[in-house]
Amino acid sequence: MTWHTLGSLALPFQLTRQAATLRADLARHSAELATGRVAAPQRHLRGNLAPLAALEARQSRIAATSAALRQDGLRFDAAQLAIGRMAEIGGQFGAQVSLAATTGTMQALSTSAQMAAGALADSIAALSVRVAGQAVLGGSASDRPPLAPAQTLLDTARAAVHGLTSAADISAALDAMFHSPGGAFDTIVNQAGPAVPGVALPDGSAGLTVPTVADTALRAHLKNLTQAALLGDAMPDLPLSERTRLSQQSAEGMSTNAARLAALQAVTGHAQARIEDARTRLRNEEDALARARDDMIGADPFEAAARLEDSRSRLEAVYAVTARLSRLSLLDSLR
Amino acid sequence: MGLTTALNTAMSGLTAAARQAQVTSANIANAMTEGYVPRQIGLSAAALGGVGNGVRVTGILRQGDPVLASLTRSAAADLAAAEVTAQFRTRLEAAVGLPDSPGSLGDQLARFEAALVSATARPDLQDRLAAVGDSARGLATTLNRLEDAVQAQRLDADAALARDIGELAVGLMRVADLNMTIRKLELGGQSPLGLQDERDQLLLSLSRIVPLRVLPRPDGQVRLYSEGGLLLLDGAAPTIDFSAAPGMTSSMSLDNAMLSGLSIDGRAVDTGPNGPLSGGRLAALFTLRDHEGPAVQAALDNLAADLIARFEDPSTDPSNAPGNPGLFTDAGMALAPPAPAGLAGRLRVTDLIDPAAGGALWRLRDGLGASPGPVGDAEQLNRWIGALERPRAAGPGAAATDLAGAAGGLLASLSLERQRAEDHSVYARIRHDAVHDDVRARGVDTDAELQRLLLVEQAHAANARVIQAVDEMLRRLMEI
Repeated sequence: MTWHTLGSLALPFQLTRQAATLRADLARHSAELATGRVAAPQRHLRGNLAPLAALEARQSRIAATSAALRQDGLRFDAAQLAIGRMAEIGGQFGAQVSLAATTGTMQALSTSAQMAAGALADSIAALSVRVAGQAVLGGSASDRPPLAPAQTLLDTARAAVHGLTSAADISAALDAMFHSPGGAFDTIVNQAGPAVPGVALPDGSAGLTVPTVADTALRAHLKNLTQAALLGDAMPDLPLSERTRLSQQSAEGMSTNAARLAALQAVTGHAQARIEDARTRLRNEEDALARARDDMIGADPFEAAARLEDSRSRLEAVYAVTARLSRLSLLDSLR
Repeated sequence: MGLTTALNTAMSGLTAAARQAQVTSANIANAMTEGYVPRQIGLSAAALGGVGNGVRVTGILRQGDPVLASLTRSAAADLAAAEVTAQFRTRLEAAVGLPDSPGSLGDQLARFEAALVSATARPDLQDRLAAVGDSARGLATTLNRLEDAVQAQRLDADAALARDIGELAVGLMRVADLNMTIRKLELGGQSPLGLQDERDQLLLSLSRIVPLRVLPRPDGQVRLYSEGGLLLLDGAAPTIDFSAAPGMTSSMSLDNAMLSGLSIDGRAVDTGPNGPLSGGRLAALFTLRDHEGPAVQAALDNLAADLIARFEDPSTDPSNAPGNPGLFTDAGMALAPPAPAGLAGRLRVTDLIDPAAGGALWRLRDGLGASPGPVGDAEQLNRWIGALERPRAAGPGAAATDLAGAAGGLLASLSLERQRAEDHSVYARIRHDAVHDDVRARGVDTDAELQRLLLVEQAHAANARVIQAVDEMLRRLMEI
């Protein structure tokens, strides 16, 4: 006689397996709800992790570049302030020396010379500005002051004009000192290194360069101030007329230089704007990347909660069925 | 005459009922036993000279299903193999790490790049240069650690092979023993059912190691083949030779005889993916140790070689003479292609930039072969960054990517393999569960056994009543 039988272990094992699967689902959905992203991204993306890896690498790079750009921006801000101070000094000084030259007395000239010396020291101090331990206008030699002290500058200038008797000669000598490559300014006074570019901009263009003290406009500014400051010296061979002419030339040089300083300020301002622009673009890119990442492996909390509720109710149903069926046995009915 | 016959017939009925009760109780006792095939009693009408003379127990039948048994074995083998591979792939993927988890390969590389960018902003600060050195060493250590992980997996596979082969050898000897004992019992007319159950369970557990094909032989014996056709047992158990490796490095392989292969009865057996022993855990472990593990090692070595080559490129550091080791080295020396296996483990950062090893941090700023230069110059640091970003193809026909892309590609390929292994393992698990559901469905049904017991009780009572009645009748005859 063949009997139709179904092993007693079949149903309990099936129920156990289903309950285990549902409990694992429950754990996964609660993790997704709590963290806001899928529990196992590598399984959610089915192993296709290359885009996610590229995204993460780009996010990290954006963070580093943003920080570096911010520091570059600070340097440009400090440089802009220094150049602005030069323009201020130039404006004030030009007016005063012009007045002294018009007056034409020795007394007026020596007073203006003293003011020039003071303005020179002021300029050198402003150009030696440091931000966070770095000399901003010092180029690659950012650990040293970019310019020698004012006294050294004046001594060097005195040595260059020693024994000259006409305004034209003195002016030419000072021009040679300050503007010719390899002159005394480059060898003795200028301690800055070559200009170095900052961090590369995100659009691929090279890093922006902070101007150094070797810039033409700044050299001319220093030359004019030095020229006026020297007039306070004894210089017995120099007649008063020549002194007056020198003084006048200093004042004219200052007003001519104003345009050059303005151009330098414009270039620096443009660099500041580009850095700001780059930082904004990086912030936008970061937002877009965060959204893309959410798209890839984010878990919507409402969906996760709905799925969690679904799993929970199904697990309860399995438990209820298990309990009911465990009471269903022929043995109990035979008693 | 009729009465005595009736008595004997009723006695045989009682005996049959008692045997049935015995079988039922054995079945119910084994209701929870995995793999127990319910026994059934075979009854037939006894005939003596053509006349019915009671009931005869023809035997206790064991309703095994050989097709289901072979499906079970094959599903068990597949599942064991799939689980080995899936576990290997999952561990490797976890060792490399997801891109955003701290300590992962992608994270270390990102840190190195970020340290370089941060140093270009302030090349005069020592701590930023030190951070570059530390993150470079962190990257090298991560690649070292990954090679260790791969070789550890290979060593585990080798140890598991030793265990499984030992188990297989012992199991085959036990099957040979059981064969002999079952044959003796069958020839002696006794029931070898319990031993058959034990042999079936043993064959199932051996099938996880090597999928077995079971051919029945006369007198209840079996002959065993592997599914690939290799004869494993015919009479006496074979001798199986395998020696476990004491340690594992990337240079050890089956080809250079530093790792042991498998020999059965003195003959070497092909343990490759399509060999005669394929399909079970044994083949999966051999594949892991000899093919998949070294393949992952090669991929790691490629990444390490890419890293070293980028920094050894003359355009990256003009101050470093060509032929000298660059920022990353092969155990302190320059890369000499083709580099032997294990480059990922030998990867180091040059001592020239490590103050603790006699180097100096300014070399990061000025170049490995240069003398100290101005502190604000970030050009060399920008060249290091350029080395990381330069698109470089890993091999012929591959897309040119930057180093982050190459690392991401390594992770993606490992993850895809892991997904494939997991999918296969899920499929094997479903198939295994379905077959086992079938097996359990054929197990002991306690409801049916209890119903039979009711009938046995009735039959026993009826036969006893017959004996009582015949006894009554005989006594009346005696009283005449």
